[in-house]
Amino acid sequence: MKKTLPLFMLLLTALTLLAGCETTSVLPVRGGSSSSFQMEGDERRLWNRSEEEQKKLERSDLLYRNEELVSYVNEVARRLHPAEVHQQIAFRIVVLKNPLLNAFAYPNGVIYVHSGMIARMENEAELATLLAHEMTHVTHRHALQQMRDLKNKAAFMATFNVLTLAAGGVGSLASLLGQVGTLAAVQGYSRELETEADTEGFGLVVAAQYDPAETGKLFLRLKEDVEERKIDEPFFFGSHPRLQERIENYEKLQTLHPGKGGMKNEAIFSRKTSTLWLIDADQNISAGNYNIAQREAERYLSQKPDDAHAHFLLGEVCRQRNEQGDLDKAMDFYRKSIGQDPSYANSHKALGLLHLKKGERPQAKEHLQQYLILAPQAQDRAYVLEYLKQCE
Amino acid sequence: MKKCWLVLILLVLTACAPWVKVGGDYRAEPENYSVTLPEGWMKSNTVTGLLVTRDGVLLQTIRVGRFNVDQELKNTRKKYSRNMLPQEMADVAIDNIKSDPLITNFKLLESSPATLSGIPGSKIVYEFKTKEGQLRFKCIHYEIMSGEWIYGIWYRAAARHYFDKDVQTFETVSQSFRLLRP
Repeated sequence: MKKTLPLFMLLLTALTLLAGCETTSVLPVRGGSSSSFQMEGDERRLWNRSEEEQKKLERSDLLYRNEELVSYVNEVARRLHPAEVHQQIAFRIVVLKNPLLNAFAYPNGVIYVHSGMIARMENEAELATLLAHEMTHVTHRHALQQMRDLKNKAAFMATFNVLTLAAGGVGSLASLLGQVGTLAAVQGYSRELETEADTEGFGLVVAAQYDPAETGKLFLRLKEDVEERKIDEPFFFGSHPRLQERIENYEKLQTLHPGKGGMKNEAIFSRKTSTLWLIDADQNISAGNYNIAQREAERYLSQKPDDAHAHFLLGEVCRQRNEQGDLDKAMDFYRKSIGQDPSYANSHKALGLLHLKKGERPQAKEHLQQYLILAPQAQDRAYVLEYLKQCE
Repeated sequence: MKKCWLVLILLVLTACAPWVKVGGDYRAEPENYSVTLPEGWMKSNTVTGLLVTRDGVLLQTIRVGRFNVDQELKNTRKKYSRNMLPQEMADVAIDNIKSDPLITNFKLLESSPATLSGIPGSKIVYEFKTKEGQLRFKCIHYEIMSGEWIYGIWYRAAARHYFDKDVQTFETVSQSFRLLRP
């Protein structure tokens, strides 16, 4: 009896683990009648949950609703897959107003791209790379695989914990990991799934006639951002593989098509996305990322040198960064802004305040009065009235 | 002897309770301020600084506290500096709130000069929604700078019903705020 106990326990363990496990291997959506997409039960629940979460996002002010830009990014996405795939999955690209570099896909084909990500790109080929990667997560049903993997691991952990509860030292190993360790071990797309999204996505970009040499540039920009913000890891595409590994991954993929060339569509990309640069610059000023904001506003001015708002934002960068010589530069930018548009109220206020700080009361008074004429309902009117008293 | 034990246990339990009833004068010697709290409100024993509520933290809270001018802010890399005008301080506070990833639909309703304990400072009034629950909150935030410290009084309440109900109570609390050693 004693001899049969270990064998019985082993069998019980194996049976329990097998009963708790579901296959994580699922067929990708390829399009065509021969491989029509059959949604599974747990996948339907995953889609339903996605739709609920999307409704919350739709109700918020986080969405960038510029119709021209939104239809442009959706048009780029449409070119990456044949029509049959789009018939099976209704892809929809949504732009979120957020300066962080991020993008994520819901299993039902709704893909969210942060405005900061688009603002950092230079051409359509880079946008296509990002979209192709995210669309691969959808067509290859990575969320379903991840969920099943998670369930299996949870089932395994539960079984493992039950079976090792009385096992002394072995049981304590699971306890040591704790919730954080367990989540860290099972959360996020695995390195394999991310690599698959890279590889398959790269294939889509090349098939759509985009220049393969442009695909890796996204990651270089990401690296710049990581260095600029002084953060350890980017949010973009999850954390696996790590940034350097991903750069290397794309470099390897690019060697398959040396000097192939292809579309970049820089001009149309700039035209359609340039409004985002200023929105992102504004958000980066709020977040205190002055150098990123400066680059974005300068980039906008390189396209539209007469823009009063862009000059104002550059003035704000200099005034708030307040490094040596910045205040004089700020005054120059505010003056340029007013030169382009004398009715641009915020530049008058900013210039008035700087004059006041310098003790130049007549000039301060002139600009602050002008501000109140141009913006009589300003939320900070009470402050400006106080400043005007100081000018007397 | 038994009674002594009972009193001791009760004392220990009261000290350990997460919420205690407050009201009247409240002196925070280490933080260098005093304030008069409304009767019947509950003070949290589990957060840093002073936080009181009457109906629960999701419905209304009044918070009083201070932080060093050089302290890094939670949501923005911007910092306060000692020579800032009250409006510039308010702008930093606003950007810190706007950059909070947990809120949406931020709307600034008012930014105006104000005084606390006779020191010129700022008042901001704003609304936001939580990302998770989609609850809409309305807030008032007073702030002053004294030496190397920023002192603040915050009122946050559910925009519907609760904000209006307790806003006067909050204003009374904010007017009672005094620095112990100016």
